[in-house]
Formats: sequence, C-alpha cells, structure tokens
Amino acid sequence: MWSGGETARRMQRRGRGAGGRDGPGERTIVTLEDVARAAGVHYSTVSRALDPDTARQVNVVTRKRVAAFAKRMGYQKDMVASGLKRGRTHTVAVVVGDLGNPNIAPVLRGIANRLEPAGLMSLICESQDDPTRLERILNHLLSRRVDAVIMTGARLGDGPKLRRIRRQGIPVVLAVQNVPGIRLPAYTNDDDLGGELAAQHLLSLGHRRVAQLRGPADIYSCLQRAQGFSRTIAAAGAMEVEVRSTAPTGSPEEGHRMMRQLLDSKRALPTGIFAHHDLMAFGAITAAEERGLVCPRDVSMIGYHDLPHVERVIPPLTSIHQSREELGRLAAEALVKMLSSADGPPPSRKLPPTLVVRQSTGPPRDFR
Amino acid sequence: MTLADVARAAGVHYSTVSRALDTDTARQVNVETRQRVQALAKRMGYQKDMVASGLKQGRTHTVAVIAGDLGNPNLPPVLRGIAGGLEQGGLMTLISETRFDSARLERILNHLMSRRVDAIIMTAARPRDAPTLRRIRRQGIPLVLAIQTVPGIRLPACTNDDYLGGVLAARHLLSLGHRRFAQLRGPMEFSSCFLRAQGFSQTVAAARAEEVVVRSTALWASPELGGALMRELLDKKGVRPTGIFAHHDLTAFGALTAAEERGLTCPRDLSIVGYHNLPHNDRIVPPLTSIGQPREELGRTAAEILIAVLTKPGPTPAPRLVRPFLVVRKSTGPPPKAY
Repeated sequence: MWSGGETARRMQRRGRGAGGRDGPGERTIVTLEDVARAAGVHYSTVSRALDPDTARQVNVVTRKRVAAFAKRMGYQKDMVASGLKRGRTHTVAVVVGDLGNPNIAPVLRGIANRLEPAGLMSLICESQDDPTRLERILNHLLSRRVDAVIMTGARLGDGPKLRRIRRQGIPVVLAVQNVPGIRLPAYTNDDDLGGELAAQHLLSLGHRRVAQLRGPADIYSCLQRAQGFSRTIAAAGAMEVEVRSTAPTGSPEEGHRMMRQLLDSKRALPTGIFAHHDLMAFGAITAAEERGLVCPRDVSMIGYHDLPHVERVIPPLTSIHQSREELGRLAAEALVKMLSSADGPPPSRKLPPTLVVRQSTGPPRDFR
Repeated sequence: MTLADVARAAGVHYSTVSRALDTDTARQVNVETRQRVQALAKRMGYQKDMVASGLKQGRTHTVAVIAGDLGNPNLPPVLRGIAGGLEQGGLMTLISETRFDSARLERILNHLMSRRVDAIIMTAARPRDAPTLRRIRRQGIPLVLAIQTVPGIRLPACTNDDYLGGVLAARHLLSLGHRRFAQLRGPMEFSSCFLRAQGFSQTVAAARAEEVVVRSTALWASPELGGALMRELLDKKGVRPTGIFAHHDLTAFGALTAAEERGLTCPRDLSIVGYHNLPHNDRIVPPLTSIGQPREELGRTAAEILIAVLTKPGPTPAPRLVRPFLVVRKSTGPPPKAY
C-alpha cells in the first residue's frame, strides 16, 4: 500500500493538484441554481426540496430526484448565507487556552458528544493564553456568526470581553474556568475543595510546615485551590511558607524554578508541598533531587489533575483527580438548553474532585 | 452592533461608515469624519461583518485544521505551529476533531464547506478518506496534508520522515547488539506508522536480524493499548525478542508496565524505543529512549505551504519532509548475556 520513496516520488509529480487549479476566485462551488438546472426545475423548488421544514411541499418524485442530484453534484447549502437570513449557523465555538494541557482533550470530547446529537458542530480555537489573540479570536467569531461560545480557559481579566459577546446576543457558557461576578453559567470543578483535600492529606500524615507552588494569579481555579489549601492549613494551626511568585504555565520548568526558590531560602524547608499542576510537581521533585533530597523521605509532593501517566513517574505522584469529560458534557447540555428555550440560563454546577494517594507523599522526616 | 448603529451615532450615512472603515476606500472620506467614525466604531465594539463581506469578496480568512485525536500529546505543538504560521498570513485557524471516524469526517467537511472556509489542513488523512478528500479538492477548496499523507492523491503535503525514524530506532538497537526484534505498531493505514514500520523492518532485515510480528496494532496512542500489544508479544511461543520499537511513547509506557508485570526489567531483559520524545519521558522509569521530531516546525511548514497555495496559483508544491532525531535515555541497553 505504502512505500517511502515511492510516495514521495508520486507526490513530487506535478499534477493537477489543488494548488495547480485553485487560485483565489476560481472556486467551483455548486449552487442551488446549478442543481436546479441539472434537475430541470425552478431553483425555489430545489430550495424547498432540500429544506427538511419545507420538503413536504414538493412531490415525492421531484424531491427525491432533486436530493439525488444535489448529493451527486456535491451541493452544500451556504450555511453562512442562510445564517444571515435565519440567524443560525449550527456552529458552536469552543475557545481553549492551551491545547497542550492534557486536561483539555476529554473536556472537548464531552462537549462534542453532547452537541452532535443536537445538530451542532463544535469548532475549536486556541488563544495560547494570550489576551490579544483571544480578542482577535472573539472578534473573528462574532463576525463569522457562531450560534454560541463555550469558553474553557477564561482568565479574570476576560470579563469585559465575554460580556461584550453576551451583549451581542450570543450565548456564552464557561467551562473549567469561572470568572467571579460574571453571571454566566459555569461548569467547573470545585477547586476550593481540591485545595482542602490536598491540605487535609498532608496534615493527616503529620506535616506542620507546608508550601504551595501556585498557578497563575489570574486563573480562578488556581486562586480557589490556593484558598482552600491555605484556609485548611491555617485552621489546623499549621504553618504555610509563602512562595511569592506564581507559575504562568503549568510546566516542569516552572515547578523547578519555584522549588529552587524554596530550597534557596534561608528559612527551614517545608516538608509538604502542594503543586497546582502535576507537571510542576515533576519539576519540583527534580529540583529537590538535585539538592540530594528524596521524595517522599525528605519532602512530600502532591500534584493536581491526576494526568494519565503520573503513575509511571518516580515516585508515582499523589494527585487530585477531577472530572473532565462530564464537565464538557454539562457545559454543552446547558448551551443546548439556552439555544432551544427562552428560559433563563440553567444553574451553574461545581463537581467535587477526589484525592488519589500514591507514593510521593508520606510522613515528614522528624515525625518518624 | 451594525453599520447602521454606528452611522446613527456618528450622524452620517451608513455608506460613509462602510467606506471609512474599509482600508481600500477610507481615503474617499474626509479625515475628520473618518477618524470620528473609526473612534465610534471602536468604542461601540462594531465588528465588520466578515460573513457578509466574505460573501462579496469570496474569502473568509478562515482555515480549518482537521485533527484525528486531540488527546494525542504529539499534536498540540503541530497545531500551534500551524496557527502561528497562518496568523502571519492574516488567517484564523479553526480546529475540528474526527476521532478517526469517517462519518464524522464527512459531517465536519460538509459543515466547513458550508461555512466557506478558505482552505483545509488535514492532519489525519487515511487511504479510505481519499475519495472524500478528492471531492473537496474538486470543489476547489485548497487542501494541504500534514503529518499523514495518502499515496497517489497528489495534494501538497508536509510530514515527518517516518521511514527514517524507523531506521534510526533499528540502527540504535542493532548497535547495542540486539538480534531479535519486535514492533508495537500503530494503525498501518496511517502513512506515519506504515513508514515507521517499514523503515524498522527493512533495516533489521538488511542486518540479517530477526523480527517477530505482533499482528495487532494500537488504534489510539494509549498506555492501555500498549500493554495489550506487549502481552500479545510475551504470550507468543519461542524466544523472546529483546529489542522493541513502540510507535508511540504512550504505547511504550504501557508496554513497560506489562513487561514488569511478567517480572521483566527494562533495560536488563529488554530494551524499548518510543516515538515522539514527549516532554516527561525523562521522569518516567526508566527514562525512555525515543525518536523526536520538530513538531512546531512541521506545523509552520504546513502553514507556509498553504499560504503559498492560496497566494501563488501554480503547480502543486513538492512534499516536504521534516527530519526526526534519536534521543538516547535509559530504556535501551545491550541485550542480556544469554542472547
């Protein structure tokens, strides 16, 4: 079927490929009129025959013939043009901050699985966590007429942008990330509870001196995680050492950098550390190992997200697990409701995360 | 927010607004009015209706990128390279996921055509998709293949040199002294996996070494499927292979776990080479030897080809190959002495 050299050679043969024929403006789009001409009927008959709402007005024989011609000729209804007339394009834009975040694919799947049976197509845009790019994307989406927007990576500063879309009459649903005070339906994990679970786990092992490696300060889920963690630690009368900086991205490099800050500080090293992302926890463990420290003997590490292969790393990482596909499904479900009924937006939901204990956490050294 | 709203606020005719906001015609409006209209349009959040203007000018400045599996960690950097490259050309990227389902691909393509996208970059093409892709091309929508190609389709394409990737994996294992090999393959209908397999097998055969065939292939890149393939291999009768080439790092992860469950230690009892050089390969145990490829570069190259196709009509550009490289870590070593 395949052969390396041959494929390349075949590809090199200059044929009438797409590039050869398709200069701008040479597009050969099959129109309603083309189908009408071929079928020998008036174009309004074609229009009626192909629209499920009006197909019954055309007699069966003609209807079938028109449908067969349309299919054979590759006719596609111009959804954008008909969207201009009817105000629907059956398209939902899903805006993602970072497609490289291993959490996001299951959310997108949950969204698509629910939108598809409702006859809606999801198209994905990546802002790469850049506010200017997000602005461009949202402007583009507005002018390209989508029926609705699901925003999965909202940051605290995105409120005005999202409200502007909402004001233009386009339903917006938030997934994964909420923005406080925005009053849009939001489907998120209970990140405050996630922080609390991490703190309780470390406390139960006997840790009295802990620290957090925090995610971005403008991401609500990270603020919530930090808040739940700090509150629980303070309530137990334990000590939290503050790492001033936050990580702009959940990467091993950032975890490494922040752990180094803790290791370089003159203060005693905390024995229990809560990283806001599994990948940051990996980097932090590496930084500790570089100083001759062993996890969990010298320092316990707990991550967040329970990424698919954290059980294969050394030591297998204790982490907080949250639902992903279900979150996407709920967001899409809310959107479908908003598009089909005039009732107010459905209520927001928070799903509870769970703690997954592996081998990166243990009792503190002086506790043994 | 329409043109008419801005016109009302500015107290001018809507055609004046239209002219003032279009760079081609802005000069026809006097400077003062033009600036006032532009400021108002910005303040009011007016968006030029690209749908309507796209209908007139025949361009929507939108390119659709079709992905097979967004959960494959190899893909996002490629998508980023594509979006970055297209941005340079003033084009917006929209992404769709097929999950390798032909019916869904068909639905997606129909939807994209009805949205009149300017072009499509297909990253998950299989031979069975060829008729669908040909139909799109016949309708005059420029189409560029990335990552996966299809024989005989004569579309511009940018892929990794997967054949060379297979050769590199085989040479590395041969140089360590391995003589008995096996592959944990991806689907053979993907050009990338087919060529990886071919490069590996031909290099092993040329060295007169032996390859044990695991018949099943992993449709998804996942540790679970990697584990299943490894168990299939270990259940075979005869002498166990010592040099294993997994077509994806995630497959290799699962294979490592399955081998450990049978009491085998990597790299003492067997060596494993993965593919894609994923970011945390150095933190897993043992750190995984893998074949890396410049992913963003591949995406950027695909975007360049597409922009060339859109702007300079001419013969189909020649296919481009991006070179992979070997990253040696600790999952590969000499075979056990008994061999």
